Amino acid sequence: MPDTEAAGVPDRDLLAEVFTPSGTNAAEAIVDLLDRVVHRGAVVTGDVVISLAGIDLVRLDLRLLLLGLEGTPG
Amino acid sequence: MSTGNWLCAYAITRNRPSTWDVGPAPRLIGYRDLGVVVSEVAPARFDRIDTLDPVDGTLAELAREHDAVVRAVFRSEPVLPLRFGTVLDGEDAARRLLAAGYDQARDCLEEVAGHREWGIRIRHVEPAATTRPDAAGLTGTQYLVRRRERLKAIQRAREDVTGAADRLEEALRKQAADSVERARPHGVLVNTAYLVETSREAEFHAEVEWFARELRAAGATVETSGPWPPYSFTDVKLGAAADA
Repeated sequence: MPDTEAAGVPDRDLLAEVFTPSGTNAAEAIVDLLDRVVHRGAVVTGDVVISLAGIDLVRLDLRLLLLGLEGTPG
Repeated sequence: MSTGNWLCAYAITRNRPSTWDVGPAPRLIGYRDLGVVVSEVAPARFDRIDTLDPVDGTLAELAREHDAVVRAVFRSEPVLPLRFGTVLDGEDAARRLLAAGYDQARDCLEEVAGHREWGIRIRHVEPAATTRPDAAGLTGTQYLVRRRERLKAIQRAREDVTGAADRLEEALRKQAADSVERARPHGVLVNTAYLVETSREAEFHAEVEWFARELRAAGATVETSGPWPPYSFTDVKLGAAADA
């Protein structure tokens, strides 16, 4: 998966701090991060928040992609 | 859509003079004893977000920025992380959000204060039951016996792994304040996030280590991730109506 490898390069230090290396590779580390940051966290509703065009689509795409990616061995 | 003053919001925390260092950009907008961590953001940064490949680096980069801010605050203060992509319509909107969601946000922040999130994943990939033993030099009966032994071994390993996994989960639930099951792709038996009080982390990890040995012996792997800010334990909706 060359894409995820490229994405893992710039912030290797941050990831190294965050993840206990017990078999977790860089791609899975990003999966864990994206899943939490993009799918979790408190949700703000109402007129105070500006809705970003396309963000719901991103969440949906990501969910499907993460399930596939995580299941890939190695 | 507004084109004015966009504020990217990262987390709700205590309204205290900032002891956290997140560089010059992010700042705190306060209301009573709560504050929301925000930074100015150019609308263009979120342009065409739906066309970004989630892991091609661009979305991952935005998500890492978000996480870095949340984490920097989390080092010294409890945080209630906000979902990525929360953009507020200016400072007044940020204050109205805190005012309208005050009780909920405060309760949730109290609950997660003094805790950190840990992820536990147990992976177990079984050999395919359809693979056949090498039939060379075997009689028909020997072949069938060998094949049945093989299927039995797969079944036994499965029972060993699920048994140990159940015991691990039970032990961890006793150490944790809360737990949330996360999506389980193929080959992942357990994928759970635990909210653990910092004073109980040593015991929590001791339990993980203990059962990990048993699980490894049975052919499974145990992965730990963390510590995380309590992303998976902030299941609240904070709303603010137009006339709030």
